[in-house]
Amino acid sequence: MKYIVIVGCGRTGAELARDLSPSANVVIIDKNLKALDSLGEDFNGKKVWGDGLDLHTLEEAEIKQAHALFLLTGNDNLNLVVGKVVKRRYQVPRVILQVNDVVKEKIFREAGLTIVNRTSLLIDVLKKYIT
Amino acid sequence: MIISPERSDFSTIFNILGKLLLALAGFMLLPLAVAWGHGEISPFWDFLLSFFLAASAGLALVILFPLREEISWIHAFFTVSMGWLVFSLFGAVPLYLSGHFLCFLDAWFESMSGFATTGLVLIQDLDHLSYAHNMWRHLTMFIGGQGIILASLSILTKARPVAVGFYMGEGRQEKILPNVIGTARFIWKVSFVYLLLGVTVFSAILMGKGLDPLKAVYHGLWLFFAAFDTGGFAPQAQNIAYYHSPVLEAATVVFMMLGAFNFNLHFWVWLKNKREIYRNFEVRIFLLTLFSLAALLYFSLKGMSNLGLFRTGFYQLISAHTGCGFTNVSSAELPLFPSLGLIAVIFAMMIGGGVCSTTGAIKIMRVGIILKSLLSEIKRWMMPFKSVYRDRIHHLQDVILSDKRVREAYVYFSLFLMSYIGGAVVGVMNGYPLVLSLFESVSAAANVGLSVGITAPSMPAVMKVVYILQMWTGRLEFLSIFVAIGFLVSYFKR
Amino acid sequence: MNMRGQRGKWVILIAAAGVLWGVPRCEAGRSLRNVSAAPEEFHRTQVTIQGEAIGEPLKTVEGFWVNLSSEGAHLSAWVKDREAVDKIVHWGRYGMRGDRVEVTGVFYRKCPVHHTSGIHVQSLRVRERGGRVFHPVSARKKTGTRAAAIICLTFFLIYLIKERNRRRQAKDMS
Repeated sequence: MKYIVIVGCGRTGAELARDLSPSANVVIIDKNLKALDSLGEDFNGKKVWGDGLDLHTLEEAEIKQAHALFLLTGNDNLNLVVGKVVKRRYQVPRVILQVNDVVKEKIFREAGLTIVNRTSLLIDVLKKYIT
Repeated sequence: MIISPERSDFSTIFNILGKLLLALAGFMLLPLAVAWGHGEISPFWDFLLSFFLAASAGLALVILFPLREEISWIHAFFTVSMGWLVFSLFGAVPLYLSGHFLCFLDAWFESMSGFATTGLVLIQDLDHLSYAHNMWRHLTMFIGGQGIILASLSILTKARPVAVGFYMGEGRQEKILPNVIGTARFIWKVSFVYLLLGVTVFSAILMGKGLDPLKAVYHGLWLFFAAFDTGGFAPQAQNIAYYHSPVLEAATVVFMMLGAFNFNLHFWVWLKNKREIYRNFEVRIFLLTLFSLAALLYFSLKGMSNLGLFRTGFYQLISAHTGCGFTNVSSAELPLFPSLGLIAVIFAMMIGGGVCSTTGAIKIMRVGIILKSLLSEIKRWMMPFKSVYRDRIHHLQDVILSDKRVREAYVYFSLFLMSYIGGAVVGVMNGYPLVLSLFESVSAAANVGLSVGITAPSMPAVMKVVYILQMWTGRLEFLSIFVAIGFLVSYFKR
Repeated sequence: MNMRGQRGKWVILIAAAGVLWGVPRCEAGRSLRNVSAAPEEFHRTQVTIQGEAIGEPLKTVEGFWVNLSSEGAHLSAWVKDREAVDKIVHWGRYGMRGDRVEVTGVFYRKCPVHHTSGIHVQSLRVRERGGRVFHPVSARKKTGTRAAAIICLTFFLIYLIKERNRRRQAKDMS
């Protein structure tokens, strides 16, 4: 069973966690306890209350075993820093980041890190409706 | 505001119970095959009849009650509590048909004793029981032991984990792997490895003792089920004393301890950090209580030589503490222990093994938390007023002891204590001496299985029923049963 | 009556009392059940008991353990020589009643050698041969099983039909 770590329990992170949890080992990290609680007590995964920047927190989330890491905090810089550190230090196969600023997306697209931008995705989907 | 179940909820519950009954029927095919293989004709018919009975009931439930909605925690609670009841009743049928029981109540007692991994027996003439029936008796312990962990996990995903004593507080949980199915798979793998190991070791020892190979393997398998699932049934009336083997006793001690420890600990030691054994809170408390009680036992048994002390007293103590119930003395000899020794054994039974294991009783984690909270209460008074003091324990990781956690420990402590004392009172009301009544009551409620002789076919029917209830509530840790009853009451109030 | 007659009567009376008091104890000693129920009382005394031999002889240091059962009670007998054990042909288990064996020896609550309770056997003899026991299956059980089988198969067929209908409905709807 795949091991997936998610940093950031906002709307996207929580929904992703819920979606993946039946068929994968999902660990979700967030600094905010309330955000974690929003998942409910019956969440079929592990919740870690801590800071994604902190290596101890990541290790508590068993980052070493992860097949994939999703960085979905609202903070682009944080996502990018953690993404690079994790890739280098723990060699997690897939590291996927959500980035808000389109300019940064172009600058920081690196091999090994998958960058996803909400606005670009939305534009792609919208364009399909007029073809 | 109390949540009340709907009619469709009951449909779901009965549907799941039906499926569980079908699974039970499936399990019965194993003793059926054994009976066929050994030409045990009468047992063959017993299991055939029982199989069709369970399968019919299961099919009827599944047909009549379609699965209406997604399984939620209400369903899980009901299913688990009623599941044990239903399993014990249908599982009693082949036992009753064997003719080794005076009445169905006795067979139900034995069946519940098996599924609740207790080990108190009412069976007559065990030495002449067929291979098939013995296979069934020990299989019930396997189902019950593995089942309670899986059941706890299933409730864990659905319900507030506090209810199953798995919650660690502050956003942490006792699951081994994040995904419950992954956890269940791990537990199965570990149990299977231990099973291979256990059967090999036990069979080898027994063959050395003079049992012929096939019988040695059967007994090895059955003793493994009883040891690892901390049940305590044995295929002979004299229990472990039949074999007269110190080596076997030592081997059973190893597997009793393996079964009594938290599965999380197994996971950690196997796959992560072996040094966790030394740092783990539950292990430390266990060693503390074990050695204190052993010391108590020693002083009470001072008149014996060292080897004698180990084989009888200490064996009884470990058997009691791990909740297994194997004994190497007859039930006539046990009451002859000095009172202080019996009390040491009673305390060991009351405490039990680790959480998330096959053991029963209050459990070491909670006892440890209570001890720690008592100490910190004293410390709190010695510190400046208004200073914040937070207790820490190391259980796999460093965990802060929240008030919630401590309160939960006290709740379970009280529930078990009430059961222990309640059963003792019933015993005394029926004319049995106090210490012996307490012993037997604790043995039932903590799912241990050691007996001072009170449990016998001649015991009053009232006490049989009381012990059955104690075994059932003890195995499920009260809460799921009380909640299920509470829901039933609120449903009928409408 | 003269003096001798008087004394004679007393001797007889005392002897009778002694026999009456002693015989029950001997009888008690002979019952396996009584000895196992009161280990303290019979500790280090010579006893002769009878019981069915159960299971098999269990090898141990210098000898064999023979487990005996009688009236629901159990006792273990430690027999030193192989020949004595070999006298026992039938051992109790399912479908077999073991030989009824009589052993004489000293009973220990906790013997210095093994630290368990048991009799250190001085002599062993087989009182009564055991043999096969047949457990007939009652006609009621057979009919009950057949009835249950029919009911079960019927329910199974109903279940299969229901499942097929359900799947057909689901297909029609999509």
